[in-house]
Amino acid sequence: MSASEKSDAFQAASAAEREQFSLLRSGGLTASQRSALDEQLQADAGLRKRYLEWSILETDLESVWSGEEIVRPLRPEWTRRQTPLVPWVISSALLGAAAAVAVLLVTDLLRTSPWAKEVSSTVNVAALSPDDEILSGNQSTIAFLVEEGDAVLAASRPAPMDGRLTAGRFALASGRAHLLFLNGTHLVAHGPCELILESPRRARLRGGQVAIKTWRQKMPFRLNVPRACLIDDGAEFAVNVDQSGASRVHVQSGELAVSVLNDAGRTHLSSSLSASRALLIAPHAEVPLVELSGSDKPRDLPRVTPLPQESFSVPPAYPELVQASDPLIYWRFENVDANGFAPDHGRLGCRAKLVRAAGSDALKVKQGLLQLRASPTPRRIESEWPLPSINRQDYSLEMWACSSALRFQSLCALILPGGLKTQRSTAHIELAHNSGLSHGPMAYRAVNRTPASNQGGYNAFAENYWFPGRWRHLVLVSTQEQMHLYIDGALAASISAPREEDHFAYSIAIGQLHTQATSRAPHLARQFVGAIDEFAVYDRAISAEEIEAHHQVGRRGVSPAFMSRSE
Amino acid sequence: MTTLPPSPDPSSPSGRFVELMLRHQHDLTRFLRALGVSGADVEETLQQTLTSLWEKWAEFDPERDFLPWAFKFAHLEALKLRHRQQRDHRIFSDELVALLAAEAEREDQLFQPRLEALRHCLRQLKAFDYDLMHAKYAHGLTAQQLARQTRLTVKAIYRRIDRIRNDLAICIRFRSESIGP
Repeated sequence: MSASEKSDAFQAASAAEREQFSLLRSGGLTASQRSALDEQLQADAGLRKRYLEWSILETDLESVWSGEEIVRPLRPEWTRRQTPLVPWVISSALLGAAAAVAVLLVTDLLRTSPWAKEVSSTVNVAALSPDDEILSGNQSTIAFLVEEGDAVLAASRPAPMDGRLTAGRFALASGRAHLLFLNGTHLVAHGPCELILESPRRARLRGGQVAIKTWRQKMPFRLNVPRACLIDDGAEFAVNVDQSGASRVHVQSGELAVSVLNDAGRTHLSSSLSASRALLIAPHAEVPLVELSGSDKPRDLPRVTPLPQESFSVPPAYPELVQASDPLIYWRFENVDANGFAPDHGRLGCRAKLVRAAGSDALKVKQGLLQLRASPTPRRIESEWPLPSINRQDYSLEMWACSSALRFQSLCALILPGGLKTQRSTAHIELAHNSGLSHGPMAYRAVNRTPASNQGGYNAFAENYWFPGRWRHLVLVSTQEQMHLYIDGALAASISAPREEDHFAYSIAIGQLHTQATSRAPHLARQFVGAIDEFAVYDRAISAEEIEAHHQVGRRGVSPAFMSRSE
Repeated sequence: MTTLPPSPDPSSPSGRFVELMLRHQHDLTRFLRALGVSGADVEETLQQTLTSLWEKWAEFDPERDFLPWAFKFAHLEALKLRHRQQRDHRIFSDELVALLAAEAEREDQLFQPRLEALRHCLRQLKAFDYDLMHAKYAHGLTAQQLARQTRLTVKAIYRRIDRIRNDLAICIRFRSESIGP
């Protein structure tokens, strides 16, 4: 066939035909409907051709995602162990079938799966310190990009890769997109909008509107607008830069420092703006800073909305699998009784207690998950009573966690109970970010320290696993001599960590480590923000096979939110 | 460190078979799916097909195209499956299976390497459309789940996916024509 003949012969199936084919494939046709379609296909050669084209594309679409870097480079977590299960099973079955007919040859050829991963022990990675990473000015990540479903990106330079943004131009044509900077600042861009991303704590808004929220820290976030800069040290505010270069700023909470700049980029005129106040910055006007009040106050500037998160609906098979591993404690966070206790489905019958200030909703069980928000008062889950002699044997801590904030966060810990000002712990899992330790970026940290203390110990880091709004399966396994951290079913870090036995009874703390402030332990500095589910403690080292199986089954309950990927 | 064993010698009969099988396993899957074989039956029927092919490998004329020859065996296995599953309504009638198999053998261009073209075409999709397809086909999300994720209606989801599939089909066709077989 010539090219033109091929083009002429191509005739896509109509919408009605495609619907029929879809129902046929999914088994949605009744026997009589199927029989009718069968007759139609027999009678109509053109329909048969269109059906074949449709079916081939459908099969290709089911296969194209499996096992390899395709299309846009996928996020590491998609390639790491996110290979869709069904094509993998089919591929494995094919390889097995080939081995049956060409025994030794095929078995040898196919012994190494392209998805197999050699895991080696790791020790602390003394890579760049977090500050070096931030200030290096190289092409490292400065923000994460999370798009909402209706977001349409314009051409950004460089294009986002795997949801990570480096320094350069970011442009949103329409819809909303969330940028989570490495310093923890959450920026929501409303399209059309154009930003120049300069560093993990600095950006420039050239046009459009954004809402920003950050938290008080050593290095505040700076947003440049035409001939002015806004320095955010714990405020929430919104700003709109119009086509004339004028900026309207409205502070929703906290306090914002505002500087009008001279030609050399230095502060010429400074001001501060507290909550509920609004400002017009007109760089070319005689009076460049004008406070807006009354009807002039902008009323339609946006707020920072919650980051889109993956949803997690635990598959029915998952708790059965966990129960088969015989957990000492198993908190599913399905419900809470009137006294603020969540039941324990493990052997011990030790319930989870919600500890929070009266009237606070920063810690709650909702939709089958433990949900934690940032709070000015302490809040965490504690075990109803301490676990006796947990530190006299091997043990494992398992959980599913989804964090929506980029900050130093404590996920869970084994702590010495009692009225101590600084919490002494023997083990914990954390998200280490700007921690003051030496590790790579966005790292999960497992710590083991005996005797229990508020500092020191053996550390294992698993870097670049964290992504905002994504669920992770985390397991810490502690033996007498070693500590292993598994993420998403695979060994992510493993170190030698000799542990002294002791007879103390340790409580479990989830979501916050310290509850009382001291000069060495700011009590709010490690609040976990996000959601946690299916927390289990085992009084043994659970096996890699069990961990992988738990992850594989649990992962089926994760529904991906619509997040960014590279152009 | 795991060392890969040497690749089989393609000049040996078994090596040649393995090479062809690896190259065309996806084509056989497409063919079986087109004949109405679905789910776990695909894997089983494929295994049976490969076994039959291997048993008859000595009869294969290397001057012929492999795929039409392999399709005949796949066709037979699909019919056997239908007869084993008398009450299963997911496989077409014998007559239709025969017609589709004949069509497939004639229109072998349909089965030519298209995954690369599909990858290229997926790359052209807008971010939202790409994610929609990824969520549906890689993760098996239903339209209802997608609707909850995206705040679109279920109907809008169906329409959108349908439109994207149509666009991909056209893109693949023109991509395949422009770069040749």
